[in-house]
Amino acid sequence: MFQADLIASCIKNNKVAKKQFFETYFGKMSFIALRYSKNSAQSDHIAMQGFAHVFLKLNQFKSQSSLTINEFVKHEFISFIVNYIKEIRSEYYVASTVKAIDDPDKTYDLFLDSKFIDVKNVSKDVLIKSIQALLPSQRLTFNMVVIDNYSLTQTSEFLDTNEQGIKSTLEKARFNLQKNIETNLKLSNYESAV
Amino acid sequence: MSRQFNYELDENQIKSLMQNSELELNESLWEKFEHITNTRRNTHLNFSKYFQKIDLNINKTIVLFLAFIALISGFSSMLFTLVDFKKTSNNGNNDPLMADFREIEKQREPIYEETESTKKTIKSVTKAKVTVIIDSVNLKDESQKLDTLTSTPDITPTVQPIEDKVIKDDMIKETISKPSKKRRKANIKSEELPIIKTVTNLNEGLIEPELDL
Repeated sequence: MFQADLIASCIKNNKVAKKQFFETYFGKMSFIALRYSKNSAQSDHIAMQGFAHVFLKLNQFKSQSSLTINEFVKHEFISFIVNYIKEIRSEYYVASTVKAIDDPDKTYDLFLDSKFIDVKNVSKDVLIKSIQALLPSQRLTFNMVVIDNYSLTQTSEFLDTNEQGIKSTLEKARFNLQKNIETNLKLSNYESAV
Repeated sequence: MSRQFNYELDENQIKSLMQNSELELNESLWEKFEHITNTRRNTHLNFSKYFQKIDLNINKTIVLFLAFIALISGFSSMLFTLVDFKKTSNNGNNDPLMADFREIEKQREPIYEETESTKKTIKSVTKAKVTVIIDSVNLKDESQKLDTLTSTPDITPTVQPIEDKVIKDDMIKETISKPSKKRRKANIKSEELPIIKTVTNLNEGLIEPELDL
């Protein structure tokens, strides 16, 4: 089935076309949801709701426009995620007031180990875990600018901030991501050794 | 952030790794998604289908200016409703602690409604008075006349009707309701009293007796 026919039948609520559309795009979208969210539970919820949102927006897609169907679906899905995270911003303010109790013997000094950490060759799981551990604003900025190729102006429009703020958030995100990757690599090495 | 920080991540590698990867699909996911879409369709009503979107490209300054005018006009209209310019302040008693005597006098005055029945009774009373006066004319005795005039007339059905009498109402009305003339003060000439010259020395003209020493 061609893309135009597929979209037309999806708009008409054809069950077969809908399932085909789901099978084509849901895998990619759920992975996008995974790197934009803080854990797998939130990513599942976002993937379902976001894909339903994309289905509703399918009638706005025009074949003559510059966007392909892949780009259109991805853009709509990301805009849904951004709005979703903006809405639940208050949850993070509440969470920031709660102080976590850590093990006092635990140390985060990365240079204590003599073992060299190669951050350039990182596995997918470690990378996803490290991105998920970022702050929501940093996670959004890093995903949009670095991975999804949005410009600084587009990102600032999405997040209702100025470009300078986006730049500084991106720098913080890069720093924290590297730290997270190092920590996660250390943990994974330790787990594999045990 | 520490100054010794060196960014060693290869972003292109991360990008390619993230963009090309996707999660595996399950049949349960499709069922879950179908369930979500069905519940959404039942609860969500899309009004945008029925109403076209209205896009008005108005400048922000114009909108602010109009909002400012609307705010000022609304505030001024609210003030005009509070202040009544028609009332004159000198008519009434403005002091709330002082009693308004005019209103109290008005309340004291009995209110008569001049109805048809009251008019008739007044007319009949005047007519009866007239008959009494006419009857009194025939009397020779002055004392009797006076008595009749002073005594209140009995308004009875035996009183003769006015049509039989010769004297006209106008004459009687004149006698009854003659306006009392104002008495002019007579120019009374004041009595001139003779001027008495006062005596300054009472012993003037008297010859004093010589003392016998």
